[in-house]
Amino acid sequence: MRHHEIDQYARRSPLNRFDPRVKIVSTAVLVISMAFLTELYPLLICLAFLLVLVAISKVPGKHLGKSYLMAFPFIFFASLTILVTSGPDPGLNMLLRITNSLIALLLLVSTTPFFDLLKSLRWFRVPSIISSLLLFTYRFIFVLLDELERMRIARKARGFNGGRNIFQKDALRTIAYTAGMVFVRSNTRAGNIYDALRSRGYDGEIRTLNRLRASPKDAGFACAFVGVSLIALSAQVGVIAWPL
Amino acid sequence: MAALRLTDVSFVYPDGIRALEKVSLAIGEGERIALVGPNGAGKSTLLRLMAALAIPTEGAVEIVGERLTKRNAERLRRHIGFLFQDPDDQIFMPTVWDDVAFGPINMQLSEEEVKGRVAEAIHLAGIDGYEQRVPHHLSFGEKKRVAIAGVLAMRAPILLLDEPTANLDPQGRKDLIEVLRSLPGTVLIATHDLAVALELTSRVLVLKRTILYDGDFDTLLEEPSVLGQANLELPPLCKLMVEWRNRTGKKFAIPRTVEEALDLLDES
Repeated sequence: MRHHEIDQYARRSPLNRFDPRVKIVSTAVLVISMAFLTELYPLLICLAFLLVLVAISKVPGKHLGKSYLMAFPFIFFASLTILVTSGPDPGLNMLLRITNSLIALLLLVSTTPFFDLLKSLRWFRVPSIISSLLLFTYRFIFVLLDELERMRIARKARGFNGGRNIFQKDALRTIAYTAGMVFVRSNTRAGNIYDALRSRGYDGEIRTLNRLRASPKDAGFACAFVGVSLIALSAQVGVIAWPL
Repeated sequence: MAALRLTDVSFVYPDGIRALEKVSLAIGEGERIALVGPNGAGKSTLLRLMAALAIPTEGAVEIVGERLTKRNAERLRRHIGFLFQDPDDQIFMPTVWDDVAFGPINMQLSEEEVKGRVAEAIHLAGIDGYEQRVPHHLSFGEKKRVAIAGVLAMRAPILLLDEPTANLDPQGRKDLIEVLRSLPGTVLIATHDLAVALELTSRVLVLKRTILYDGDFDTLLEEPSVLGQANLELPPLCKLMVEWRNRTGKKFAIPRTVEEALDLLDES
């Protein structure tokens, strides 16, 4: 089964040239700044900046769009709640804030090889148990999906078509057994995968050949993010007026 | 000094299943050995013990002369290259190059050394040009070769291969046998496939929770009771030659390959 891997375009992206640590900090600065924005046009400034980065990144819009759509139900319901309780402007504001933050984070993970990202987190002294957890969670999602697909095909091959409705007792029982077996089989496979990693010297530390080395161009990258954050915050407090 | 030595090794799984019972054997440096047995014989369990991925419930496992314990397991593992039966369990990284490099990078070798080992391993496994391919998009046979390359890049002196030819098509099997034939060092191949064992190894261990037989193939071929106990079937060529020998009364070593058989028939 082919999977939608989050960093499949990372190596080809021009944004991969920047130090992952600088990218992490810059993204964090922008996302935290956006948390303080309650006006529409500062958020639009950030969105414009992010869309420019998307264009530069050479990550296909379809890839980012798929990832965005996975989170969209949560974004939608959060914004809808605010819309209903506080009105259209706060609702739109919430939608933009979450969307901007998500695009910033998607850009980070789509333009940085996953292992470099984890190695950078270790550089920031994030405990190795956390980076290992992230590594295995990401890897084992695909294991779970593969097992689920195998079980689905096996069921279908033996005539199971989902039943007439979800409340049909036999259908419910089959689905419950499937869910249980997926976890049992995934657990076995996860054990094998971990043994395979140990047999090739994995000891909990994330290692890559990529040496983390910041350079002047990374300063430029960071300045761009900090600059946009400052402009947005200035617009928020009224230091910069919206020209239109 | 034996590369691997097991003394009265038993292994019981947490659910009480006794997978191995008092297994004793010694494997010398440079030996090429087949480990054969039926399903559930304990082959994979035995390999895991030898690969220092598990500790025996009873008995002792010695790897390059050192007794395996929980404390030294990680260090002793560096002497072993283990090829898992399912390459999907072994392949972890986003590209073939990254996956083959995973082991050498964990060994904290220099960048130059890593690149050299990866290039060599990829060539030995016959997957030149695959470096930037996504492993999970490859065919089963190709993934097997990637997994083998990943093990070869470690340059471990002892290689343990769990069913290397399982689930391969005939061409894939043939190609892989050529790769396996060229492997350096001490090699132990766990397999159901006696034909592969005959082609690649000189000594055979028959396992069914315990060692039923440890010796050369020629003697094993004369032990139908052992073959029966282990639910093993001779390859068709061997069956034919054994039957011919019985009918004609001629005395000869059972040929292992078609070429050897043809030479023998020519001489007759």
